[in-house]
Formats: sequence, structure tokens, C-alpha cells
Amino acid sequence: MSSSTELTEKKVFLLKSLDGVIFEVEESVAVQLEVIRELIEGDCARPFISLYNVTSEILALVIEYCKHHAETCSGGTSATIADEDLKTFDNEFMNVDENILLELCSAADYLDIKSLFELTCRTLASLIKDRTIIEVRKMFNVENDFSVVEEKAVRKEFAWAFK
Amino acid sequence: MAAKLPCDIIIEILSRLPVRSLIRFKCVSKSFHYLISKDPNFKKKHMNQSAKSVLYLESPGNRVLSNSLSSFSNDEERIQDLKILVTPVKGSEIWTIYDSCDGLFCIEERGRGVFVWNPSTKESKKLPDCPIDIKIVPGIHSRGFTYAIAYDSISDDYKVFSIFLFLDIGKGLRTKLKSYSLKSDSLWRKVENFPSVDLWNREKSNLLNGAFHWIAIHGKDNKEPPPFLLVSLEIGTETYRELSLPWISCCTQRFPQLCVLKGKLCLYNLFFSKSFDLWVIEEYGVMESLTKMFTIPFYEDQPQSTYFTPMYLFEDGKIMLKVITGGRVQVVTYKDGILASTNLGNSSYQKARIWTETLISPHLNN
Repeated sequence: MSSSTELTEKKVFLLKSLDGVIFEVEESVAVQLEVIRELIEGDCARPFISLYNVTSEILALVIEYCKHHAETCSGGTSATIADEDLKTFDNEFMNVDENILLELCSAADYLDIKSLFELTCRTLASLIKDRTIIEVRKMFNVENDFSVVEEKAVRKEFAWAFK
Repeated sequence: MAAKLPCDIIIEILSRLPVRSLIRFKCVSKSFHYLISKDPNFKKKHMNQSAKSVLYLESPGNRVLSNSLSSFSNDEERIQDLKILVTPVKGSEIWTIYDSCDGLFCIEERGRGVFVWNPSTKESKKLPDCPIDIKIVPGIHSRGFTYAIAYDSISDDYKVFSIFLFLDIGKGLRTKLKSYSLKSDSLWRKVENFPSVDLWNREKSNLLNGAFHWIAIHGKDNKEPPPFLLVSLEIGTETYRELSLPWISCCTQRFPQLCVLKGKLCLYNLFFSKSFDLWVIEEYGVMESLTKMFTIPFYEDQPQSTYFTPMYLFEDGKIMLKVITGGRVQVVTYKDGILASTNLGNSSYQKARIWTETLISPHLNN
């Protein structure tokens, strides 16, 4: 990075989580949150932004993700190396507890971070693809509204998919 | 227990699952069952996320196998994940498999029965027989039927086209097309105003921008070299169009061929004595935008009568090609001047086609 850019004053934003923790982030990180980018472009961004749906634990992770992506993309490395680096980072980043993943997915949707939303959705899909019906109900908190007879009939009709 | 995720996020996650998992998850609840079996928007969303695969028709034996396209993007030569698909008729009764559209294949049974088949959901539908309106008398030589399937966005329906070619001695080659709607489960209806052209490589439908595309020559003409045409048939309106082809190298070698790569029509030469050339029509319908994409030079141990068919262009510029020698199909990849073979096991194949796993049912009227 050249010395002139270092001298330029960096714009920072303060993001406040649901539980009241304040995070200081640079503009290059903040703009990855589409909701904030829109505020900035509309010139409506206050330096202090409250995010009512995200806990500090999750917001810290989201900022870590955005920071890494912002740094990798602005660095002088070639596109292929940056790509590889992001892939490795993303894989590591997804190596968390399932409840955290679900919350990250929800946060990425709320904050409108497309790449993180895609990443969490894909990771969750690959986690659940071999799960049992009961496990899926539990994970998505879905009530079984089939009668015993109805469920048996559906299972019988698609028995091949259970093999 | 995790907090309840909003419905639209659950739908996003489900739309990234393989079909087999989704079929199982119909048992989760009534709303899951409805979403996966009936909801047309979910089916489309899933289709857009779904990964591509390659389907093979074995020879002999006619078993149908498939593996994911992503297994070709690795550098390992041996392809591991081939699985056998359950077909609506016994393997030995399969005559041929045509190009698919949105995960639906047209397959032809020996003795001319035609099915629309979704290999992912194992659903299939036998189509009514397509009648031949002409009498096969001396002087008329049938060149047989081929079939093609496509989505019609005007009526939100899938249409199957039968293409019948015959030689009328004295009058030349004649083509008769009929269409069948999956939604209305109609009888075969004649496609009006389709001229008498000799469609080449009719098995390959080259679906792009809501139309089939073929290379053709006028049936009546007997000029040398023959005047090649690029012809198209719009699926919704059944409108026929034609464009003449420029005299590029692949057209002067007598056998220009057509394929679709990354949403663009491409031309290539079937046989190659010196090289295999691939040209791309950058702007749809504009022949002036034709540019050469690459050339694969002749290689020394190449057997006689080998021909190449491009199948898929990967993001990194690697191209997947079928190499057909004496009716046997091999799959190779080509990038930066290196032709790499892939090992598909001990079987030999007569067809290989790209397809997508989808939830689309051949029983559209249900």
C-alpha cells in the first residue's frame, strides 16, 4: 500500500449489536453489509448504526468475515491466489457449531451479505443432506403434522430415497 | 434447540439440496411435502442452484450411468463417483437417449416407444405413439425419427418434438416435425411451415434462447460444396428461421457442427485432418461476430475416424469434449494446449450428455 493512502483519513463506522456491544469498522468492511452500503450511498449513514437482530457474538464473526474478504480483495495478490486464500478462509470459517451457523445465515440475510449468505446456506445444505427426518424437524423446529398413517404412506411411496 | 429460522431462509437452504435428500424430506411435514412436490417456484429455484452432471449410455448392455460434472474439474484422472440410474424401461430396451431440458430426458425404447424421464425423481411418462402421415412406398426411404424436448416459456409447458426425415426419390429429402405438449397431454400436432431441409446431427437439439438450432442443407439442392444453413425452431411459436453460414474453415471441410457453450452457439468441424477448430458466435444471430476460440492440433497416435464434440466449458477455461472413435465415447478435457484423458472405469459408452438434477415432473398436468 502506498504512503499516500495511509495518510488519508479512514472513515469508520460504529456498529451496535442487539446486546449493546459497539464495534468499530472501517468503511471497506462496512460496505460489505449491503444494508449499510445503501445507507452510505444514500448519504443517510450516521457514524453510529444499531443492528437490532444480531448478537455481539455473531456480529464479531460477521466483521471478521467481511474484514478478511475486504483485505484479500484489495491486496496486491493475483486473482487466483486471492481466490484460493478466500476458499481456505471460508472453509475454516464454516467450521463452527451448527447453531452458530444458523445464526450466521440469519444475520447474513438480515445484513444482506450475499457471499456469506450463499456460503452458510451451502454449508447447512451439505450438513443436512444425509440427516434423518427427525433430525431435520428438530433443526428447523418444524412440527410433524402428518398422522402416523399418512407419514407411513409417504415413506412407502418414496422408499428408494431412504435406502 | 435452535431458534426458528424464517421460512424464506429454510427455503433457500432446501433449494441447495440434492434431489434425493429432498424426496426424503417430503416426510418432514405437510408444508415440506407441498413445497417439494408441488410448488413450481421452489422447483425453479432449486433447478437454478442445482449442479450439473454427465449421463452415459453404456454399450453393450445399455445401462445408464451418471456422475457429477465437478468430478472433471479435479486433476485426478480417475473419475470415482459413477452411479447407475434406474430407467423406466430395462436397459437393454433403451434405443437411445436424447438431449435433456431442465432434468427431463427423452428416451426411446426399441420398437419406438418414447418416454419423458426424470432420472433424479425416477418419474417417467410414456408418450402416445407419433404417427407417420406418409405411406412408405417404393421410392420413399425413411431415415427415422429423432426427438427433442424443450421448455416453452409462453405456455409454461414442456414440449416434445418428433423429427421425421425421409428421402423421396425425385423430390429429395423431406422433413416432418410434430410437437406434443406435456401439460395438456395432447396428441402430436403438425409443425406448420417447416421446410424440406436435411437436418444434421438431429440427436443434438442445441437449445438456446427458447429455440432449437441445427446445421442443415437444403434438401433439393445438389450443389458441391453444399450450401450450409444455420436453422432454428422457436419452441413457443414454432417459427422456423434460417441464416447462412460464412465460409470459415470448419464449413469448408464439409462437416460443420453446432454446439452450445456458456450460452453461446459454437461451430466446429466434425472430422479433423490437421486440427480441430472451435468458433464462437459471440452475438446471437450475428454471423459477423464469429470468432475462433481455439484450435487443437492433430496428435500423432490419433486413430482414423476420430471425432470431437465439445460438451462443457468450465469457469477456468477448461473444456470438456467427447471423443468418439468407432462409436465408442471417451471424455477428455483440454486446457492450455494439454489434452487430458479421463478414466471412466471398465465400461464403454455410446452416449454422454450433460444434464441437471431437478424436481420437474413429467406429469405436468397433475
